[in-house]
Amino acid sequence: MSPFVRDVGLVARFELGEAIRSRMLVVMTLLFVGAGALGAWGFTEVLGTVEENAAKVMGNAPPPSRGSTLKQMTRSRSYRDMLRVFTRDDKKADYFASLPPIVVFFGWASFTFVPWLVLLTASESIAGEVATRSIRFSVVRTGRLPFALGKMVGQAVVVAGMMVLTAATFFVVAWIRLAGFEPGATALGLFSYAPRVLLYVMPFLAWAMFASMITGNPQVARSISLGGAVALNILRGLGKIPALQGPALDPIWDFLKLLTPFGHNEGLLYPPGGALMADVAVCLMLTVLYFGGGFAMLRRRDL
Amino acid sequence: MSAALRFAEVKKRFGANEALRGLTLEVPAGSIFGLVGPNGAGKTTAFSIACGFLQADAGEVSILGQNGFDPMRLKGRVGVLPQDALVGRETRCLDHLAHLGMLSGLTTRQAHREADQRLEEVGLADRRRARVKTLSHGMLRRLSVAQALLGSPELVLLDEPTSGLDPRHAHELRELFARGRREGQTLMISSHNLPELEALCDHVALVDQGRTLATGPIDVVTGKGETVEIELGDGPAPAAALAAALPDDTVIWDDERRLMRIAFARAPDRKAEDVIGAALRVLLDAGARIAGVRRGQTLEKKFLEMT
Repeated sequence: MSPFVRDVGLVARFELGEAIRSRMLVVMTLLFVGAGALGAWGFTEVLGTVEENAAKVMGNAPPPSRGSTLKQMTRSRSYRDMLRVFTRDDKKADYFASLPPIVVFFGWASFTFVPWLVLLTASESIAGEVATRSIRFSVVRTGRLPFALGKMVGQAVVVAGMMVLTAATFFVVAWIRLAGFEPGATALGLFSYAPRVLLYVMPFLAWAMFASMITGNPQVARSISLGGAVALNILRGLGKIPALQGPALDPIWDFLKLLTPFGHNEGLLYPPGGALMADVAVCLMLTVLYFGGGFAMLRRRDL
Repeated sequence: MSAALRFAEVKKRFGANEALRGLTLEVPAGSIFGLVGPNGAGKTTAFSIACGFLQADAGEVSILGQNGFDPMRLKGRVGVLPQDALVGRETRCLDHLAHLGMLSGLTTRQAHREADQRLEEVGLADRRRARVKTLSHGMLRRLSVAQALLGSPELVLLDEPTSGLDPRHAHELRELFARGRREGQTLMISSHNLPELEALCDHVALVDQGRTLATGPIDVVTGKGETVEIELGDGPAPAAALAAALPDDTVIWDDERRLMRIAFARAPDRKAEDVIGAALRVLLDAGARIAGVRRGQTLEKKFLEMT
């Protein structure tokens, strides 16, 4: 193994150890698992209500337990029509209808909220070490690039672990609360979404690392991480305003959309749509771009 | 003797503050080199540039034959005690050292063995499993010294290594540094404890306002091979007789301090011991009462004189 790769692994491993020792991992686990459990529980409540209302409308007796009519409901035309309203795409609606509803909710919730959790938790990774100067113990022994990469890999491993835990939480909650629970299809759906969410989160993680590399103040790093992401999201949203659309402006919005990490989850959420590879490519490109930009500053700056 | 570390006209500015204004010095391989200067003289900046923490604005730094500090190429060859760097509060002493040992290129087994050995050497063997947050200031300092010595690096840069330590632990660290030098290590030490540096170092640089005021072997800088000071008790002070007996040398009598200073020309066949012998004979013959004899100036006196 080359010294470079070994150092990346060592820094990542120590980062993981520090997360455990500093109880940051406990906080993150509580955040992810707590939010996952709460979300999954709430969703199963909604499903139960929908089942009851559907039975009332059809003039049937109320379902004996929550989830007992789920299979029939997801195969019904009205369920597909509802998904069509949300997705505005027949094929996409059919695809989501083929998945257990809890899996669809997990996918939507993860793609929506996990990036923000990552922006919140990863931005102090390097800035914190610069502030306490503990970075000096490491960069005298290894290059700044393996150090920064190791930090990012460590954070990615933490997020990956959290995704697996969250998926497991959804699985357990659905198992406990839904009578018509399909363990095989649910497990397959949940655990096939987890790596796709991780891929989507990578540019957000790289943005948080960018913030962490350009300042030695952890609070400023967090502000740049979250504030910058909000600004990028607003910038992307501007292109959707009809008054700001036109042949001259559209290429600018398209270019800006390419530079923001938001919205590149279409293909990851719905792989049969054909945008999977494009989204994977953009996510990887943005990851390299943000990390590279931050490292260009870290490489030259005084520590 | 080749140089383990060389600064040539190194400059560094922090905004309006010019921290280094052309610092030039050479740390001979195998020496213990003291970096001496008042607060704000540029010592820590010089250390930080040598270790690559700070980028020099101008000048050249050569370290173990390499131009500039490249941690991958110098892996395991340089140990550093940075000033004011904190260790994660929840980290255990042994984990901290073992991790840094592995980053220095040691295998897992070697790193753990080294960590144990260094903890033993700095008197923290019983705290190997302790979390850093439970250590006192002095213990933290010793832990930081231990990490600098991991893997027996060729060059060790220590910024204020004994600051905040009790006399016993400070003495033990000095013994450790001296042993390192005997085993072939080069050590560069910055300290405000000048008697400590004088006892430990064989080369020194006096710096002030980012410039080198004097540098070289400590005997030369403090004039140990060029001056002799003899303190007299109450009674006769035969300065004229001494000047007559040592016609090639300069004899100065400080009446207030009752100090006879003899400045002599260095020559292979005439050492400080010869001058001391000749001077004492004259003084004793003239009835003077000898209260003390010292070669050269103390480092502290030289420092006060130059800064």
